[in-house]
Amino acid sequence: MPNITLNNISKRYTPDHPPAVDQVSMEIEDGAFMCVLGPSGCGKSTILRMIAGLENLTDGEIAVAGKSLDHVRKGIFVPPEKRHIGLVFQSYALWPHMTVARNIEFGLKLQKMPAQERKQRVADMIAMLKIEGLEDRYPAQLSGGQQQRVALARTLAMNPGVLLLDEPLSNLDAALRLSMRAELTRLHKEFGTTIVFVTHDQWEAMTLATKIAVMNKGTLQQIGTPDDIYERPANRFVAEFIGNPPINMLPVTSSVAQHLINISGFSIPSEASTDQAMLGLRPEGLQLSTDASGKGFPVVISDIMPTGGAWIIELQANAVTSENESFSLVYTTQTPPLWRKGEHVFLRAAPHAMHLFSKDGERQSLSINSKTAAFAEMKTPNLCKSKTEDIL
Amino acid sequence: MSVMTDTACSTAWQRWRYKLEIAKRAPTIFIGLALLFIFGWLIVAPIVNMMMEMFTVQTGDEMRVGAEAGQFTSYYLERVFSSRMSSIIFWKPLWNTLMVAVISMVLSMIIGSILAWLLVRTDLMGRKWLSTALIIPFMLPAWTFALAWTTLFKNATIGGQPGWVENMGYQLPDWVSYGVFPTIVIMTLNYIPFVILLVGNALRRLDSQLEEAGKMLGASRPKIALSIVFPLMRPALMSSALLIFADAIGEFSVPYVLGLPVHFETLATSLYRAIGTQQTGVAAVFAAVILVFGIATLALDAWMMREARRFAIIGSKGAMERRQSLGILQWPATILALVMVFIGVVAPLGALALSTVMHIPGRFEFSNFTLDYWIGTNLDTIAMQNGILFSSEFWAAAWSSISIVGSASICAGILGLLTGYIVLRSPLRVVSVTLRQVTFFPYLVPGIAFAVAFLTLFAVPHGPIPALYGTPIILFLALIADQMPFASRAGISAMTQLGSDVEDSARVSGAGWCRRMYSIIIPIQRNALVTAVLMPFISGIKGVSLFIILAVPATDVLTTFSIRLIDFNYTQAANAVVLMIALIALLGTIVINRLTRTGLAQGLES
Ligand SMILES: Nc1ncnc2c1ncn2[C@@H]1O[C@H](COP(=O)(O)OP(=O)(O)OP(=O)(O)O)[C@@H](O)[C@H]1O
Ligand SMILES: [Mg+2]
Repeated sequence: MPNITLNNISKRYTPDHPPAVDQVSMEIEDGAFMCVLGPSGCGKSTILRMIAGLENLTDGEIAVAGKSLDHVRKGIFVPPEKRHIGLVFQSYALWPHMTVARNIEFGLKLQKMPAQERKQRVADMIAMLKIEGLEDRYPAQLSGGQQQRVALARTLAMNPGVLLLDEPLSNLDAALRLSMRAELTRLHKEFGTTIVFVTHDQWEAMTLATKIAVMNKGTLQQIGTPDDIYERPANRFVAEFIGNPPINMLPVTSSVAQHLINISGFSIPSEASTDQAMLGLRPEGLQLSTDASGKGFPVVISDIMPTGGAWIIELQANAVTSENESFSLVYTTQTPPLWRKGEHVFLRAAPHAMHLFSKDGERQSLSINSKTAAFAEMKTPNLCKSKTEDIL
Repeated sequence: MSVMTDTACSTAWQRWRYKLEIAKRAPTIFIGLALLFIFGWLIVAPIVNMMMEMFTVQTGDEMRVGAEAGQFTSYYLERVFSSRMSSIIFWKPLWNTLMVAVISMVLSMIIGSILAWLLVRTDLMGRKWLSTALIIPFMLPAWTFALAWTTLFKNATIGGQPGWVENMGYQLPDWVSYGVFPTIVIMTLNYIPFVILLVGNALRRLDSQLEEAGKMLGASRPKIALSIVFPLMRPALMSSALLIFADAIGEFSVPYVLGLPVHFETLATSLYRAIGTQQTGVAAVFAAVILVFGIATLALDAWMMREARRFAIIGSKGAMERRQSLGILQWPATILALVMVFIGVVAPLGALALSTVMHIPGRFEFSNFTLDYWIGTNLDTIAMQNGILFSSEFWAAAWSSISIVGSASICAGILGLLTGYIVLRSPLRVVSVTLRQVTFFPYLVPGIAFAVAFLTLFAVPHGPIPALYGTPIILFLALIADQMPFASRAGISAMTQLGSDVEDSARVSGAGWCRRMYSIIIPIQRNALVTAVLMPFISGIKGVSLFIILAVPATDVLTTFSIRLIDFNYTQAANAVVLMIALIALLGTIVINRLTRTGLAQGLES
């Protein structure tokens, strides 16, 4: 099974606009389930269309299984119809003049598959995607979700080695989504298909992918396993994009940030101790107590919002220092909160929930402050594993 | 993974080579270039050539001009614009043309807008039926009405059989029978449906809530009309006015039929006369003048449409269908609409139809009725000894009409769809923009001027192409070129709606270009293709200008056949032929309307 190599690919639709995809390189290993994740308009669909050959490159190289399909500098281009890559379109792009069965059959006919086998394959696909009874309908007579499944069936029927999916589950209801997700995972395992899956739903990416590529404004921000992305965001954008509710961001120089870092046994590296450097705190990694002895930072509970099995608690942190700075933070917990609105409590943060970003948004490691031993009682800090190793 | 260490951009040459590689795999570029070549030859070359003829001494004019044939000269310009003859051959016809165009434009705008408003915005009785009936004249050739007029109101001035009115014992002055007055009346009648279609469509899209919002603020009715409805409608009104004006400038058939007996000339008829007397240079000047008017008007229209787009409020889908109650005006309004149906449809078609079954026009006695002109045999006339249905000339003309116009329309339709495809898919923007404009260009050129342009280019051999004059091929080519605006518009609008994903998904399924065309694009666009063929067919079958210049007796078609019959005073037979043409055009329109529900109005607007 093939792996896909993107080598510095760029795409510029119009000369006077910034590129839709800017020098993206990634290696999608054979059999990977890669999710491309990013906000709307960041260039996800463009990347998929470039891999499929529908969009020409402005620069760079795309290779599948070691064979160049696009290579601007060498003047290589393999047309989409020769690539044998499956692509499910964001808009489904079903052929409106063909019935569901004929839509699924079309590609197989082009492959000159014998009629008998073809029939069987179509029937299999229809059963697998649970669209029985719709065979003779035209796309206009289907709901959005049904169309999406037909589009999937049409592509899967071809049994492509590489499968590109552009938000294939966006139009399904929750239950159907779950079963389709399971189906995709099964398919991936069973056939070893290399899948590139575009979504802007982070939860979908987290649960499905073996690897996630986070994009923003055409550039690749980070690529890694779901854990990597969540626990070691490479920059401020990734940290803020991933996680729900979103990560809290505080200026490193604020007294809250200083305090939380200090009591966890860290200190801020000198090069990061500027105004613009930020400390990110994952809401679920915060800890509250009514007990002042824990050396927590004093905060006021300003709001409690139950969200069905979990609670989102808004905190107000007033600085003790000179200026009247005041920050509001979000904390989430799965245990019913014991506090009331307006109550004063003390805030701490688990080391693994703290992420430091330099003023240009890059991830930075916190240094360990040997003098403070307070973190002994907490979980081993696994933050910045890779980067703190040299310190330890 | 071959790591690319150099971060510098790829060179221009590398990018170009890559693009070339892509181009080789998709025929879009080659088809685009082929289309550009075809249209360059069919549309641009004739017009450029004609412009040059204007400044070149023509064969046969050497003595008059005092220079060798083929040399540069301003003789023709001087002759037309500033010679002793100019006032007769140019300025008077120009004045006539402008007068007729402006007056019939204004009249048809006023009447048409009122009717459109009645049909779209009020609870007029029988509006559904009326809105179909009032559109009928649009599907008929303009000169049908001119013939109907002569059938009814012809006087004794030019001999032949008098009209019904004279036969009933009333003397008609010339100004009623011929010239300016009937020309204006007929052209007005002919343009009213056009206004109803365009203005009606705009009114339909105008959200009545906007009107109501005005009402809520306490504005009085006339104030609403003036300050809200009129400004919003202005683009549509201006646009229809200009389109009418551009069309009226080049109108040939109506002044030809009605103006000749009293020497009422317009630019188009003068042009025809110049051709008839072998004055190609002068004809080219006339054609150029008509062309300049056409282009100027449509450029103005394009400019105004762009202005209008800035406040595009129209097109809200939820535009509520709220009709104004006519109240006490219900009866006068209904009567007005009925009168228009009578004047515009019943009277002319009825008169034509009746005239074909009467020996002597307008005498309603049983013995006067006959089917001879349709199915008679061995009549005691010099020519046309059989009724038209038994006349081999008629069937020959009908067959060549249908085969020439039909094959040209099929070609135009296919070229139109291809043009639409290339305009939307070409990787080269230049190609799309040029194609879009070139194919629209004949719209700016009145048929008669275009015919002259074709004649000047193809009448003589050019390189490998022999002289085509007198062959059906020149008609075929001219028809294709002349109909490209309709065909390409239909193609472009169909392809715009299709979007590229549908084709792209066939591409990734492994379908090559031909397969995509055959299995995806053409089946999906079947209706659009039929429209792109039928629109040119209808307008071609009823057209006069191209044929009258380019057809010779050997390539007789229905229109030239009927005009010849008129010239020989076989009025009844001529009318019968015209009715047959109208019938064909009507059938075509019905098919289009079946295929595309909004049909005509949409085809006109896009
Ligand atoms: N054909 C095109 N011409 C010009 N710009 C384009 C074209 N297609 C996409 N773009 C631009 O390129 C950028 C990336 O578009 P793309 O469709 O890849 O986004 P996306 O990440 O898939 O977004 P979404 O999640 O909304 O689908 C956008 O800013 C878009 O406006
Ligand atoms: Mg997208």
